[in-house]
Amino acid sequence: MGHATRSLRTIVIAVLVAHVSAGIGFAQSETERAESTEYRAPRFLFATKPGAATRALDIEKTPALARRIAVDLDGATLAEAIETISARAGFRIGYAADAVPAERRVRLRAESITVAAALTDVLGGAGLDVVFTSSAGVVLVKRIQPQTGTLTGTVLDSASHRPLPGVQIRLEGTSIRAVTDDSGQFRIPAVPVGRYTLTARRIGYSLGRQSVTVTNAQESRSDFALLVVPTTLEDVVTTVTGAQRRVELGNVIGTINADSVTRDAPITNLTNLINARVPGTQVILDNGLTGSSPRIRIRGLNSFTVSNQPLLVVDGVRVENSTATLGNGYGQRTGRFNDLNPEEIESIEVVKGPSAATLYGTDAANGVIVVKTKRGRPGHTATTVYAETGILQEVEKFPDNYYSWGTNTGTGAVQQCLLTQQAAGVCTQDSVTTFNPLNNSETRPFGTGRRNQVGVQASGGVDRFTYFVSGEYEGEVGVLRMPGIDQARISTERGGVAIPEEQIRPNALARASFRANGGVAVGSNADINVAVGLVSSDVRIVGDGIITSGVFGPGYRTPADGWLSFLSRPGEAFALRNTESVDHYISSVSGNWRPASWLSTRMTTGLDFSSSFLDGLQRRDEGPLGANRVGTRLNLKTNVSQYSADLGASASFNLRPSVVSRTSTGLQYNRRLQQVTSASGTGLPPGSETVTGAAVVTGSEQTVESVVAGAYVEEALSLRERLFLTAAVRADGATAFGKNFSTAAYPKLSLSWLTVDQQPGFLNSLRLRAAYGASGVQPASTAALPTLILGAGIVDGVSISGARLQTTGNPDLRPERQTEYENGADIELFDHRVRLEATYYNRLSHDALVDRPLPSEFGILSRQENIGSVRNKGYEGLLSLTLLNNNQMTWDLSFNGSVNHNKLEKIGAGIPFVGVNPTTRNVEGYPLFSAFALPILGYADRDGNGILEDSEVQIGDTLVFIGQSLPPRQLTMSSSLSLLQGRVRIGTQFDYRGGQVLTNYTGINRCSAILADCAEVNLRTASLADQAAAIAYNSRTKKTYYGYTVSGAFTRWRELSLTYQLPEGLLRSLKSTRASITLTGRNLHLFTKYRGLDPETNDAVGLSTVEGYGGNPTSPPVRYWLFRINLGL
Amino acid sequence: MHNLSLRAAARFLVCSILVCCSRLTDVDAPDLVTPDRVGNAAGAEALRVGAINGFALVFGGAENGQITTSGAIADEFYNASTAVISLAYADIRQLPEPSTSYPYRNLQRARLDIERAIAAKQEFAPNPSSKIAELFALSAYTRDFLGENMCSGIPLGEIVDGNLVFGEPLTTTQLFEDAVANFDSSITYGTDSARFLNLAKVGKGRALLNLGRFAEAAAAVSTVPTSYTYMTFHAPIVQPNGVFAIINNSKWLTVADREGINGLNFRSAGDPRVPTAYVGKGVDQLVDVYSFTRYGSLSAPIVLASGIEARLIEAEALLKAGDAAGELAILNDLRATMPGLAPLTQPATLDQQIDQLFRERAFWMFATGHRHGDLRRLVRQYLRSPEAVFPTGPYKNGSTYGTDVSFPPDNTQLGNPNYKGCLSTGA
Repeated sequence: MGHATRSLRTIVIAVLVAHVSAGIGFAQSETERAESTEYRAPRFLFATKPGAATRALDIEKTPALARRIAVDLDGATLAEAIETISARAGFRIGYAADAVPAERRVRLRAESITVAAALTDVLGGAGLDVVFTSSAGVVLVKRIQPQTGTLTGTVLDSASHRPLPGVQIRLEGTSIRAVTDDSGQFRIPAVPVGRYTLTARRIGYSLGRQSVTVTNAQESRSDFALLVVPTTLEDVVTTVTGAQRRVELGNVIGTINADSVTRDAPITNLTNLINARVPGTQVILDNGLTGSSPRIRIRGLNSFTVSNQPLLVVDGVRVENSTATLGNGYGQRTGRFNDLNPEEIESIEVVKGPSAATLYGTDAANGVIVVKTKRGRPGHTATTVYAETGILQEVEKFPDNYYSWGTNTGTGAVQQCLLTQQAAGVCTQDSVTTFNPLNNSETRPFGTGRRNQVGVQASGGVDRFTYFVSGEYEGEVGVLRMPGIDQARISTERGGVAIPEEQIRPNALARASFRANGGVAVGSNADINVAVGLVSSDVRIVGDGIITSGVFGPGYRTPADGWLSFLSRPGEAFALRNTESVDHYISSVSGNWRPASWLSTRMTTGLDFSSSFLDGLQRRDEGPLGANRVGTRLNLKTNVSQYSADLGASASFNLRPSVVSRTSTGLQYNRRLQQVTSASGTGLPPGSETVTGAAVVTGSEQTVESVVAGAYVEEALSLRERLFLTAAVRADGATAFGKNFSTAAYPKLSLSWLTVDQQPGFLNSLRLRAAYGASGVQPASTAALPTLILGAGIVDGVSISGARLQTTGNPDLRPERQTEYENGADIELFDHRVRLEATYYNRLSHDALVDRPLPSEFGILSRQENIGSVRNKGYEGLLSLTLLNNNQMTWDLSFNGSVNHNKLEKIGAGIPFVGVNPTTRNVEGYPLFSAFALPILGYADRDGNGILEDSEVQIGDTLVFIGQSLPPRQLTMSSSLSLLQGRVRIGTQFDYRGGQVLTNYTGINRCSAILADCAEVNLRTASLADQAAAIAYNSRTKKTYYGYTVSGAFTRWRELSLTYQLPEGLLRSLKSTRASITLTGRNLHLFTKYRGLDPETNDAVGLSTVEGYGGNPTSPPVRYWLFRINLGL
Repeated sequence: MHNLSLRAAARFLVCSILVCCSRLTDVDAPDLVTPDRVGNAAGAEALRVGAINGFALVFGGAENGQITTSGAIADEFYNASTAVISLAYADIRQLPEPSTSYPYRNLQRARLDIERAIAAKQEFAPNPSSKIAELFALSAYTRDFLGENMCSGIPLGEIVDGNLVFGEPLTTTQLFEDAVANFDSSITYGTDSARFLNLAKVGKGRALLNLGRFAEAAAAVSTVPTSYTYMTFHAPIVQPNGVFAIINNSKWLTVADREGINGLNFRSAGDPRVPTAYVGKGVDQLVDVYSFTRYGSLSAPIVLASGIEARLIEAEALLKAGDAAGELAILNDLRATMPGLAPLTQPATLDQQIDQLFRERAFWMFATGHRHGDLRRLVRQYLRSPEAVFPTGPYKNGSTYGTDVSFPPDNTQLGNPNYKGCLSTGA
């Protein structure tokens, strides 16, 4: 660590010396002061005749003014002084009597003074100019006041005709700017008369550009109707070195205009907001339960040991983004990602990889999701009230369970008579029953879920102060519901006591969120912004194991109602309490100070604190049968604090008139502290719900702390506002590095060339870009250290504390290092009606951290080593089309898609592969988390009995590659149709993912010898292909999952929305400035050939770094129907 | 003036950061105990306790315990679970592709923990030496268990100064010989404790029996009194009796009765050495679960070695040497110590005498991890067919028993370049 610190110190010195030594350019402020005094002095002008246009005279080149004279004017009137100077200068100076304060006394005594200086002295502050004319000699005229006018206008969404707040209005070539208020209006007073180009910019919309003429004392109006487009080059995006225009960056950054999406689309959490909206970004759902958390993957998988999860940065502060296992069953995880309220978000930027994320440093290699929360704008207070209500439906058709009944051919006893036993002559089948309690109306553990949401937001401000406040309550009850017969049974067992609601509806979410953001301008060159967000939530996730119990049931209605067993019926399973209560506090303070026109500095500090309380309870004599019926209790408290500090400065210079240099330096510090304490008790006293009094109580604690500290320098050059070059380097030290490793350095290069800019006609703009960068992923915080695990042992009947080796450690551990280059083009065609963004990327993960499985002979599972190498390359594209755009109708269509090629190039000497599960392996030369199995070479029903037997299925001897787990292909189609001048809007979205394979573990287990409840082992009508899959899986000599490892491709009709803008008459009666009602649906249909449960879920329980699961029985995504009303007050 | 203030501020910032920099990446890790912290007598004792704890956890463990797993593949326990758990595959003798370690990894871990504890005790706390003797004996037992459970060709790795030293494949015979060597070391150190000395002697006798060196085995145990026992101790949470847990709490296993045609009638015999009690239906709602009541709680101790085992070793040596009468006398002497057991009569044939001897061993040492090794010995040393001693034929749910008699290591073992897979999967 010492070496890392020394290196870091060197960098810090360099950065700060650069800051200090850059202290040039203050002469410019002197010039500015001179300009201000000049305003009070007379100007020397030339005009062909009085009243004609004037031009300034060069005094030194005008002999009449440069002539030296002697004057002695001690207390003379101004009229006398003019007369004296006129006489000494040799030319007549005329003036109108009412224009000159002739009686004003002046003093001037000089032996040798120029005429110009003498006139300047005596006329100073008189508000006069000296005008030389061709025809009328020299005249004194009153200073003409600057002629100004006012610019006003309204900016609307071209499709919806809805006012657009927050649009940046700029007079090109000047520093005059304004921002539209909540009614979409802007007003710019005191604009000097003249002709200008006025532009309107807003993220998510095309650039608006108009010519406008400002006339004296007049109001000129310019209205804009902006087209919705995914991105534009003129948008401003957030980078480590400050806000930058997209056109200046050589890499692509995905942007989601959250504000407009949440208003119309069925967005219930951050997952919905991100899913399928940015090319190359995949959201992988664990399950469809309310409150579960997803995993995000950007541009493929880079690591098979450490997390592939991107960083989450909110208002400049790093925010916890981890997931936690909760409840029983597959894939049940809550997490901090969905703590953020989408309604509070203004925009989301997805920084996709090292080429873009270099300056975010170690940890940023998997990309960065940059969230910017809403801000207030100067103007009157705008209040928005919204309310949403809706239902959730379980729409999955679960597979039937089968049981084949028969008699033993030898004994005549009744027995299950599987196909293979029939073929062997063991039994004779006489009937097959089917039953799955998940599908039966009486036993089905589902009901209609409910969702309600209400929120209010207010924003506004004055010139120097802006604010945004927001409050929201959200409640959702998932679809799981204890069936009536179980309610009756359980109630009877408990002596008629009413069953608690938390057991009847075991999946629910209640969340309140509050946010207050404020900004203050300090003087003319500094501002401070404060953002505070608090989310408090309770999530119940329990009983998803009931899906397992249902699809693994015996195939007939047993006394246990056809569930897998008595102890996994809804009445028992739902009696477990698994609740997570979370308080999540995200705060940041940021400041910008511009001490000189060429220098800007910035600072952000923040704290992200999340406190999670996991509350597990099985009351005595309730819940699943077994040992835990004595009552168990788990308290698990996890506090995570993330401290962020960011200090930076940028200096801009015009190296030449057409070349602008921007040098940025900065320091970043991130510290993460996780503290976990747990207490559990077994053997609860009757009626007890706490650890207190439990027969056996255990406790534990854990502290994990990690720090990354880094510094960077970036140089950006702009040539004629067309060519942008950027070079940067960042260096990091981190606690997780091994003692033999020092500083990690990450370089970056970027080029952006705007070859065509805002031209009318066919080709409106064309930009070519390329970027190269490196970044890293740090090892687990203690992976470098050998550690002992402490615990008590019973020796000779006495409990004594002892120690055992837990990890071997690795002193050479260093960060996983990723380098990436990308290039692409952005094209706008046909008057901006067609926009295309295309990108190719190629990323190599060197020194990939491999959780190297140690041979079992060492007793320790694994240790992290930098021995792997993973490559991801692929294409991303975004195409948006405005198919119709007229007063009545607008139709926009957009496609975003990506193709990813993933390959494990090196895995480390001596490691043939890293196994994940029976089918999934990481093997050199193949994509990460690929599926392999012994192939089924063929099958034939040679004896013609309609049943395949072992000998009739040929299985290969060598494992074959079947496919990869993460979908390499992704395509999303979104359509937005606006009718009746935008009063009605219809939007929809389809999402395709393909190229991946899933192992249908649901099918495998159902067809195993142990469960044997699937069709292909019971039904003679099952196809031979299906029978072959089951035979091969159950083979005693060559068991293979081949027949169940199949394509997981799917297309989901993900969203449909219908929005109606209420008419003005109704608005008046509602005392509302605007109002809309929206009906939306989510997860409307699934198109897939996959025969397991939903192919979109990934059910690796608690394994945030492991992919390749899926196919286990877990809750599929549910369908939402939501009704929403938005009111502007 | 403006320039000066800016520079002064920057200098202040530089100084502040430099002062702080040396601590920028320092963190506290109160949970972490690194090996250098146990380089003393107290640390050596902590490692000894940890090693004994680890041994007891794997010996008396639940799903992947030595007793439960070996008893499942043999005829002691029958699967009552529905979950697709490793014990289910062991019970049906259809071991899946080796993705599950069973007790293998934990036995290896226990072995290495014990070796680290031995080294620490030798360096920092050599007295009393009997504590080292106990550790050597437990280390030897891990080798013996590996030999009884696993296929032939298992390596024994080491971790030296953080470096991985891969082991060479050892045949089953080599493993037992290695066990004998470690028992001998134990005997060397155990002179000041009869308890640990006898543990080593019984263990050595067991390993020699596995090697087919019957006379040497009998000689090794000859001085062990019949009343001797060495038990592993258990307690809830930290070191639970996993056999009790998996039967009584989880209801995943039951004491078997005539399992798979060849199985012994452990329950229906009504033998006082294998007392059982009905505890309800298994998880599968199909199999009746019976517990082994000698393990009446999570705290019940488990016998690892005993004087009874010593006598049984001597009996087998006599039978092997042709002294069937002597062998029967020992069996009946033992039976006389247990109320409710009638004396045995001499069977007519040698095979029947062998059956009777192994039945006595099975009942005396039920649920102590001996039966799987004995079945393999019946195949290896008495030339029985595996299908004549292991459970076989129809299984529940219409399935059929497989043919496996030993466990393969899991796939991670392939990471050892010396390892070539099982050299033999037979008995």
